[in-house]
Amino acid sequence: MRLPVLSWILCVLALLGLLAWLGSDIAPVTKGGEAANQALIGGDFSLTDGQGKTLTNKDFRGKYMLVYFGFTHCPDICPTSLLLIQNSLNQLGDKGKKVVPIFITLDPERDTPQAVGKYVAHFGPNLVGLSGTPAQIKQAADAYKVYYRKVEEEDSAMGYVIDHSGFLYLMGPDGKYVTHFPHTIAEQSLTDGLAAAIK
Amino acid sequence: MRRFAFLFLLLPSVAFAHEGVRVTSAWSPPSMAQTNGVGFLTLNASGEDALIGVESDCCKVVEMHEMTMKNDVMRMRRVEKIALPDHKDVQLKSGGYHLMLIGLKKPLEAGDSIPVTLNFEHAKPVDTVLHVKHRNSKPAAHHEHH
Repeated sequence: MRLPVLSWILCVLALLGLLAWLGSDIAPVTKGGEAANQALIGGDFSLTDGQGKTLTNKDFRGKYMLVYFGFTHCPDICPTSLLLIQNSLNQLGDKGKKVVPIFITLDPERDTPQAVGKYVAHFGPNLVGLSGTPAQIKQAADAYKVYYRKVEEEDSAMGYVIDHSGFLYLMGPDGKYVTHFPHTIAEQSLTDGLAAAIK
Repeated sequence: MRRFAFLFLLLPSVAFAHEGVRVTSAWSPPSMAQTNGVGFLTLNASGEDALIGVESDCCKVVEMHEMTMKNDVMRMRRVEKIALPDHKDVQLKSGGYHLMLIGLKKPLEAGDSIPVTLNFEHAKPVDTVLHVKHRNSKPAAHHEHH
């Protein structure tokens, strides 16, 4: 009698485990868009740039920040988004100069601050690239409600990839959320959106 | 004998069905400081086929990957093959299928030509070249203000 009961318990536990695992997998992705959430986007971060300098959100007060999260092993979307940002800011002229574009890696294991610094230098001198410890990255990503997940790819030489949401967050000179854009936005729409949002 | 005749009739159509895969618009963006590059191209097969592998000396290994967007989350996964329907353009392009050039031996710079060999399920392998060029027709923004 004991054995069947034990196996029942094991079955139930396994099922609960599976449900929990599935639940975590399909947890809703927080979008920046909902009005109620807007005030909640942004917050404290403390990260390191390519020169090894610690930068926090407070260091950017007085400037707008345009924040994008990604990883340097991503060959396609992340470079496209960073080029998009640079092109739009250049089009904006003086208004664009009020904005500091910031790239924050979601892959702190591979993207050291030096690696990120070297990477962002290819997109222009004003782009700030930040990395940190996994805990520091998590703090920054959580502050911006960024979904990211490391996914092992055993059959790929990539080793692992990072699934992540891709929004550009515009933060005001007071550090507060202003608006956000999908990374798929057309360059002109981003330029117009930024022009309207920057005072 | 009849069976033989039947097979004979089939042979030419089999031979022509996979006469080749046409490759157009093969290119790569510069690799920046990355260790990985990406390749895009358009394939058009004569007869149902599939891209099953890619070789190149430019990097450690070339894989085929697919980018998908679901609930605003970007995912990239390796795929074993890319199906090529008969006489239909299949584009490997930004935001979809692409070639991952993993472990580049040197950075890809605009103007470079990267030889690659494409292997197919049925058609003969095709040697082609990825032309390295910037993503936009416009030069990278930071080059404009010196």
